[in-house]
Formats: sequence, structure tokens, C-alpha cells
Amino acid sequence: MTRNWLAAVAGAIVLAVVLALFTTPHTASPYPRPALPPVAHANTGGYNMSAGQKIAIDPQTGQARPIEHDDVAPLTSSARQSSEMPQPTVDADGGLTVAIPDTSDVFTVATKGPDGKITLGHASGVAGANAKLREGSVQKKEVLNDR
Amino acid sequence: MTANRSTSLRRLLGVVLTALLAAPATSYGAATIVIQNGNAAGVGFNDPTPAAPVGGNPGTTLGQQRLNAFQAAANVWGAQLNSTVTIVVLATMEPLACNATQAVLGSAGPVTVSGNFPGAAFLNTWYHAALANALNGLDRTPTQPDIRARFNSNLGQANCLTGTPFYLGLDNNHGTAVDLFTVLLHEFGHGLGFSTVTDAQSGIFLQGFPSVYDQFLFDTTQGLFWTQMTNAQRAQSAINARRLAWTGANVTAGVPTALQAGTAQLKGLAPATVAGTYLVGTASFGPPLSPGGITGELMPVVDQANGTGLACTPLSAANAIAVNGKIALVDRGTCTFPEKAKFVQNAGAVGVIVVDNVAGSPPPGLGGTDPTVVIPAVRITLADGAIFKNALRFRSRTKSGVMVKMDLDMSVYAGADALGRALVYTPNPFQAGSSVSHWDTIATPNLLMEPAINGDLSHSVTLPRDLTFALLRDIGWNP
Repeated sequence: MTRNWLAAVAGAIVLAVVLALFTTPHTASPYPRPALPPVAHANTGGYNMSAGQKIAIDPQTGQARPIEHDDVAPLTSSARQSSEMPQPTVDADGGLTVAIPDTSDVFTVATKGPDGKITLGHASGVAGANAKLREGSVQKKEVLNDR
Repeated sequence: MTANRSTSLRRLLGVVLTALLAAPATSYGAATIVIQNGNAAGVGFNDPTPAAPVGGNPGTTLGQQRLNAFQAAANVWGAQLNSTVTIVVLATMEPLACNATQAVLGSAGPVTVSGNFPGAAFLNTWYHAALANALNGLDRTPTQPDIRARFNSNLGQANCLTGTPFYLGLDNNHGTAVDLFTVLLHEFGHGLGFSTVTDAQSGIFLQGFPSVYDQFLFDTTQGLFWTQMTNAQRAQSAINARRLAWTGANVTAGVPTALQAGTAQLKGLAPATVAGTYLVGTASFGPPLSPGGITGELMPVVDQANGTGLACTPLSAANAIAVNGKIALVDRGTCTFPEKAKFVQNAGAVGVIVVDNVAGSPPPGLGGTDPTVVIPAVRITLADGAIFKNALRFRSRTKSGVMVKMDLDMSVYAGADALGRALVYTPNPFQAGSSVSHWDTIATPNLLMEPAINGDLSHSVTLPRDLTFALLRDIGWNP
């Protein structure tokens, strides 16, 4: 009896949360507003509403249900990459904006050759630039090696 | 009455002229780019170390001169771009990684990207912040800068590319120093939109959307735009050397002006197993390839136990007989390229092809100097070398039947494909930071947005000298 009562309360809370998520008002936009871009998920029952909001759909009933541990399957390579991506925010006019971390910045690396000439190359992010220094290799224009 | 009217008209004219002069510069080619000094007191842009004005930079402290250089480079872009929204560059000069012979000079990139905003030409597509603001006509991220830039404040000091500081003059008279102005023009170009935020190595779009940059990338092998590909196809395209073309109309129209006609190539003529056109790296010594080129029979030098030929010593009698009057095929390694060329030249070869000894494409050039080398030389990839070597297995001591032609294809601009579309840099293996977001290094004359930022660049970003501004127009600037 007590167990049934607790289950009923829990179900009501879940339903309330789901309804709240679905009924959150959005700023009206006069511009076409496409759905958020698809995000890779390990669980096929996952449904991405917007950044940071995730519920699951029970494939048997078609109804929303809370996330469970089993839903967090091991990440595939692409899913891991996607999860590490900066998340978009929805702007007031319906547009989307993503903050780009400086790990994506293009770094310029200079190398001085034995003849004193400077050659410039590129690397991606601080880690990439530092690795380039460790490697000691920066491509030259059409003259990568002299032997 | 007439005098009063005349006075009134003059006053009116004066008011109009004053208003025009005082009006914010919002016409075509007038964007304001502000350098936001992100350094603390006493360092970076605020370094009080006295400095003598240099190359048109009137600053009298190191910090002032740095800031002047940043603003001057920003002004070059500001004079071309059209935006009613001020472009803010958050800039710092700070210690970055370096040692005596190498240094991280600096970096730049967009702070945010936006999509599906009013004014965006492509739906579900990311635009760099400055461009998104310009198209939208408002600052979409007013609390944030649009571009982030940081540069190395220790350059030139002990153990940081020792003795080679940034040249802070504005006149491009940098000598052997690193021209900060040019590097800034290049990096700001990335921040303004000359880059993709797609993970080109995996082919994965940022949150499922392509960059506006990706909309113009067309793989000539796959016959697909980047926006039409799967992730795997994009990843393959990113290492498809000299097969990824920029299709934007402004760049394509500018190719005949910015690039010179003529692309060096190697043609396999016979047998059928070698037929085709091969990428080559050209030599900095010997005669350049000509439109007529040279056609000849290919013969290998074999002077190693494993069947390869280094040609690092005078050729044996057998090798000399083999390459005499022929185009010699030698392997890279052990000695310099001019030495190889000279040894086969002394044996009577009329040209030399060096096969790379490491995998990768496109084949880099052949460095070195020797004014006594008078035969043309090119490098081909290890993989292409294997194709020719396979055909050469059936040779006699003096004949191979493998016919090749080394020439300059005058119908193809240096840095473009056969249809006149500029080529994007897609080396194999992938080079993080360089691949896709630069022009191909074969471009001649050198372009600002090549990965190497060559020392012979001018400070121009526009045609007829450069294609950078044309690309920015393709992605949406100055519609």
C-alpha cells in the first residue's frame, strides 16, 4: 500500500516535470526557427529537447520517463566528441549561439632553421601548438626538407 | 533677400557637410574594429619599456607599439568590411610556449558562432560572431568580444626564438624578423570567418551544423559539397590533397588576377598502368618546368641492396648507361636534392624525379641550391613512386617503355583546379590547425591565408594581390 502510494507520488512528480518542460514558453520569433541540431546519443530512446534538458521515451508505451543509469550507455567516439562540444544556447530571436573554446583557435608557430630563416606554421589549440614545439616540425612552403 | 538666401544656403550646406563628416562610418567598407586591451598594468600592451618609433609605428613604449600594430592590422580589415556593429577583438600579449629555435607566436579565433539569426543566408549554418553581427545588424553577444587574440610577449628574448622579435613597424620592412602586422592580418582573417568550426579530422559538424565556410567546399573526387557528405566522407575529403575546391563566386572571379597561370605536373604516358596526371613538388634549383616540358623514358637508379636508388655518389657504369638521355627516377634520402640531381645530370639524364621516402601528399618541394644543375627536378609521393616502380620492373638495362612528361600546365592556375577554383589546403596526413582552413601551399604568388605565412607577402588582403577578402565576401561579408 505504502509502496503503491510512493510510486504514485513519484509518477506525479515525473509527469509534472515533463509537462513543465514541454510547456516552457518561448519567445515568439518572426523568423523560421528550425529544431536544434541533432546531437549524437548512445541511447536510442533519448530525446534532446534543448541543451541540458534530456528525458527518455519508453519504447513500449511511447510515454516520457525519467532517465535511468541504464540510459547512459558507453559513449562511442563520435558521441564522446559530441558531448565534449560546446552546447548551443537559444537566443531571444530564435537564433542559436555557441561559445567556441580557445582550444579551437588557430595558433601560429615559428621555427628558426639552421640558416637563421624563420618559417611559420600552424597548430590547433594550445596543446597542439605545444606539441608542435616538442616535435620541432613546422612545414615550410613547398620546401619541407632539403634532403 | 538674395544675400540672406545665399547665406542660408551656405549655412545649410555647412550643416549637411558637417553632418556627413560627423556621421559614423557605416557606408560600404567601413567597419570599426576595436582592440580591447586585455593586459594588466605594466605588461603586454601596457609594457612601459621605452621604444624608438619604427617603420611608421609612432609608439614610444613597447606596449604602445604593440597596440598600434594590432590596431593598424585591424584597420586594414575595417577599411574593407561593412558592418554597423563594432567588431571587438579581445587581445593580450602574454608569455607563450617557446624555446631557442621555436615559438608559439600567437592565436586567434571567434569567441562565438551563431546560426539561424535574421539575415543569415544559410539556414542551420554557423557564422563567426563578427559576420553574424554584420548580417544581423545588431550585436548578438553584446557582453562578449567577437574575436579572441593572444600573442607571445617574450618573442626574441633569451630562449624564445632568441634574437628574432616581432617587427613592430607597419611598413612591411621586417627583414629577417617576424612581421607582426602580417601575422595579425592572417589571424584576424581566421577570426572574421576564414575558418571552419567543423572538426575536419573526424568530419563531425559542430552540433550538427556546418560552418558557412563549409558551404563552399567541393570535393572534386567525390563530386560532393561538404554539406552533402557523411562525416566519413568529409574526413576523407580533408586529406584529399589538392582536390578540395572553393566554389565561391568572388574567389573564383579573382583567381585569374591573384594567381599566375601554370601548374607543374607529371604525366604518365605509357604503359597504361601509369597513365594519368600526378602531383609534383617543384625544385628551388635547376630550371623551372616549362609549358612544353620534357618528355622522356623513365629509368631508375639502383644503387642500394634493397633495390632503391639514392644517387648520392657518382653513378655506376650500369646506372649511367641506364639513365643517359632518360629521365632518372631516384629515391629521397641520405644526401641533398641538388646532389642527387647533379649526379644523374653528370651521367647524362635529362630530368630527375625524386620519390619521397615517407608517405604523404601533396609532395613537398625540393629544397636546396646549386646553380650548376641544369636539368629539371620534381618530387612525387611515395605512393605514386610505387606505381612507376611497379611498371619499371619489366625494363631492360637500357629501356623501360615507361614514358613520362614533366611540364607546366598553362591552363591551370597555380593554386586552382582545372575549372579555375581556388584549392583549399588538404594535406595527407591531416595537419591540425592548417588543414582545410587555409589555401593550398601551391598558390603562386603566395597568399595571406596559406598555412606558412610566407615572408614575401604584402599587407594587402584584396585583389589583385590576395584572395582573402574575396573569400570573406563569398561567406557573406559586404552583401
